[in-house]
Amino acid sequence: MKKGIRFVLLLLAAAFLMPVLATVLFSFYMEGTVMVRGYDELFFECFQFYTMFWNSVFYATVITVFQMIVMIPAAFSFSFARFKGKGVLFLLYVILMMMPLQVMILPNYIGLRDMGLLNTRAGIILPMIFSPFGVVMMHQYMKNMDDAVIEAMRLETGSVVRIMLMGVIPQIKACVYVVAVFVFADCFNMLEQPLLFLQDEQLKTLTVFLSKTGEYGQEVLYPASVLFMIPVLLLYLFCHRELEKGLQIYEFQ
Amino acid sequence: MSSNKKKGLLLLTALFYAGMILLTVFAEDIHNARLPQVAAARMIQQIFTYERVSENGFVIEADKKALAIPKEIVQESCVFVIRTVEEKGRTCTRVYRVSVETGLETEKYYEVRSGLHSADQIVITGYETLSDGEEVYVKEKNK
Repeated sequence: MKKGIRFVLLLLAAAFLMPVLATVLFSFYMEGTVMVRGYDELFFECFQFYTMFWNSVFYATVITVFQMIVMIPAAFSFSFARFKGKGVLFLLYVILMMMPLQVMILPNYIGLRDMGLLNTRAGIILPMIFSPFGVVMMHQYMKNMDDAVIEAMRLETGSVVRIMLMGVIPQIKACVYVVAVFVFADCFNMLEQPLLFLQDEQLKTLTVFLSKTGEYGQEVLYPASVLFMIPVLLLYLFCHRELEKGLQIYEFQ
Repeated sequence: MSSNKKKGLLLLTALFYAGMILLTVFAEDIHNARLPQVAAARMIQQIFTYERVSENGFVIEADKKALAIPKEIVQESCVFVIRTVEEKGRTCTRVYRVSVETGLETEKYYEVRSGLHSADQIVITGYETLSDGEEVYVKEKNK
């Protein structure tokens, strides 16, 4: 039975890995021969690739940093503060988190248009900073924290900010890594927002470049896809132990 | 993760981003250096002398001003013309072989009767090894 389960899991893993391996293989293998012409054409003829690559890195990094700054205090408030309507407000967060992007995209577009933020970097960054996903995840983590730590910090200091920074954040480091990696990957992979909210090609992201199958051939798009995977892969490799620890603790709570 | 593995990963990440920064800065220069280097110029107006029969029946010399191209760039009644095209999200310069009908001539120039417009930029050096539709780098432009 164990061998059977192991075989099934290996098959599933292979099914998930096949598209990635195929992408890497086809980036070096074209028209029946091994070649790096695709990379040569991508690096030295498709200069738009660089602009869009750095846009993706910029948006993902800025959004991740600002989301952490917004999300941790919000989750802390939901976990430890007492105020009227906390339950209803948190329920709204959960409902918002469940909403598919396609439902939220039109209100976002109208809001950005009215604020004059369409076709600007802020139009991409601002809506993403206030995402409810991380708040809900961190709240689940924080509510199972040992209250004794908070009580001990309260005896030392009356400052809520100090309690949050010195007492709570060190306890939830694993969760912070988990959320940061997921948020970075989510922002790096976003396609709908740059396509809908941006007209200027200089502001668009690498996902838009990869969607231009009519303009660029396979020999360019496969190498571009390989390079697209690298930043998130590097971040995952850097944080994978903390990520696994965070996900394990989250699962058992 | 051991500190050596973390250091290795940090180094790999730094190398990747440093490589991308270098490519972002230098890729266009490297691309231009690999292209055939040509010089281009606009056609000039040249005075051509020709013989015509007057009303009295005498053969007289007359002058006319017309578009002129250097004789040495004409190969099999064709010249290379510079065109700017938009492709793959960038502006690139390509050369196209154009047939030219020539007429009068001086020591250095042919009169252009048809095939070219006065605003066309023609290749004046580096044309020997070019092929139709090839991308080039124009190193100097003379008006």
